[in-house]
Amino acid sequence: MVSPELSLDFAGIRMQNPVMVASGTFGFLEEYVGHVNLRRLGAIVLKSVTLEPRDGNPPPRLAETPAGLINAIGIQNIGVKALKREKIEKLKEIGVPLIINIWEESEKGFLELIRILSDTEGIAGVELNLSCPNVGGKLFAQDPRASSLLVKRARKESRFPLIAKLSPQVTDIREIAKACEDGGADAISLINSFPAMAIDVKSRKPVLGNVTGGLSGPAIKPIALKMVWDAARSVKIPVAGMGGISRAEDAIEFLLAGASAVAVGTANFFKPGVTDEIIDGIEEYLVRNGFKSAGEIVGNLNGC
Amino acid sequence: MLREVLKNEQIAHDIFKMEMETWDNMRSAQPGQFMHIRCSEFYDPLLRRPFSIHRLERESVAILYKVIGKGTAILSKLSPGEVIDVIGPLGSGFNLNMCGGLAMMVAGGMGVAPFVFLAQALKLSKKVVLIGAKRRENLVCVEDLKKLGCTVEIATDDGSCGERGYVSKLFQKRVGRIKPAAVYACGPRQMLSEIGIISRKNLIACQVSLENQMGCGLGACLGCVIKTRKKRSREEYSRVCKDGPVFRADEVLW
Repeated sequence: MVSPELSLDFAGIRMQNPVMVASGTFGFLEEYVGHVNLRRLGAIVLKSVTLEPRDGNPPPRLAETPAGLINAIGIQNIGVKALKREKIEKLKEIGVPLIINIWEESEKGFLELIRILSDTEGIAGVELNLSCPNVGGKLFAQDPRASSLLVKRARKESRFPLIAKLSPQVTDIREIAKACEDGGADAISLINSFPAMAIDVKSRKPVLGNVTGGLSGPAIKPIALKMVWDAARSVKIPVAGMGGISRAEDAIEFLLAGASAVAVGTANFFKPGVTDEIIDGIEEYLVRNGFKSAGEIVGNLNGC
Repeated sequence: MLREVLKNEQIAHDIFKMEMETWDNMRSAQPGQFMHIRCSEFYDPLLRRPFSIHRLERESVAILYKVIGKGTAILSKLSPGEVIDVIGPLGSGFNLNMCGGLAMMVAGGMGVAPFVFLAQALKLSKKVVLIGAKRRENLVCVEDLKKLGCTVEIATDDGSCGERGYVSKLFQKRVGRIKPAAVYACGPRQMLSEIGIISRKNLIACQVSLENQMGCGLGACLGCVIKTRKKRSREEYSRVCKDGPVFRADEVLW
């Protein structure tokens, strides 16, 4: 019995399986050594990096909800120069495709980041964080024209595959997805966390220091899944689906909805070994249902 | 990893002690470290809960916990033989180096939890533990600490046991006379801040064990940060789960 083929080419990135870890949930990896089998991952997406180091938002940064988590971390990070200097070498040793997620307030900032990363060895791709809800202002991902323009200009600067990460807080995800494809994105990833808040009735204050944050976790899965389904049917470029994936079955739902890869984020917090569980689970599902590869189930919904 | 629950007993109103089978990494745990426990098999509560390592024996490790919400309520219903999902030991431990002097521990309420493990590790040192509680019914671990060679003094808000008043007041009274080589404090933030100030006034190094809501518990998500400033350095955010939970009191920006 031949094992089903899990590997795939995602936007020019060779992945041994469709399971990635999502930006913001995996730090810069050292923290998970010993808790997660890093070498088994399809790809690793690092926490957003910015031009200058950022302190991030004042605490409290977390508000737990039933089946969810509102976070307002605020992109605390060491800055792209320190990332290049101190982290990339070690990260390369893991031997798994490394995708750098970048964020800046302005288009100029995004382009500058891409330029700075252009001579870095060991990067498999760049994810454009067009959609973080915790850093103020209107999101690129809410404006199809701005997204398309940014992607187009980023495409000119970047020799790496470009993945545009989208926000769920839009009127029509298909519009944004198409705009990014038109701009030349090699892939899209969705969804980023959903703007949310929590209030402490005893103190009559918002729970989060930043007042609002982004909701993630199992609670948002149905929303994310629907958006992935919409987006995947409106673009030809590959889609990485994420939002509440906490077990193999969730990941398979996203693949069936049209994602060719999935990312796991919040679930790593309460189940650090979850990615192993999901990779195994996808394989078992393929065997049990007679599929020869993960690719065979992508978008393969009966009657749709 | 999954561990078998060996004992899970209520030792005071809403305070429980749970013993579970130990594991390799746990055998080299340091006092002050914690374990991260998944309370629900499903998604409510979603996140793990951190608990100080309370007591370490050859075959078992114990936590002390108060039932304050959904997660701890679920823990309180576990029976011996059932399994529990734990990660640990995590975080930074207490610095035990006191050059042969006396160790003074100041515990506010449930803050007494890590001090039994600390007392176990400081077998050969002179140890004084000051415990503060609302009233005598809330006092736990007193006998355990005495059996481990600690002199224990108590302060209760209502005076039902020991001195009447906050433990910080008791600490202020005793620290000058006892002159500890090191102070270890664990309890509510307000108390820790006061103990830190009093220690500094008396020129004694004070270590505090902080608690915070945590996401991953491993240092990756940056959700549990507090503001700190190391000597001659700038203000920064430190992770309670990884850079802590033990911090120097004078580095925490309360």
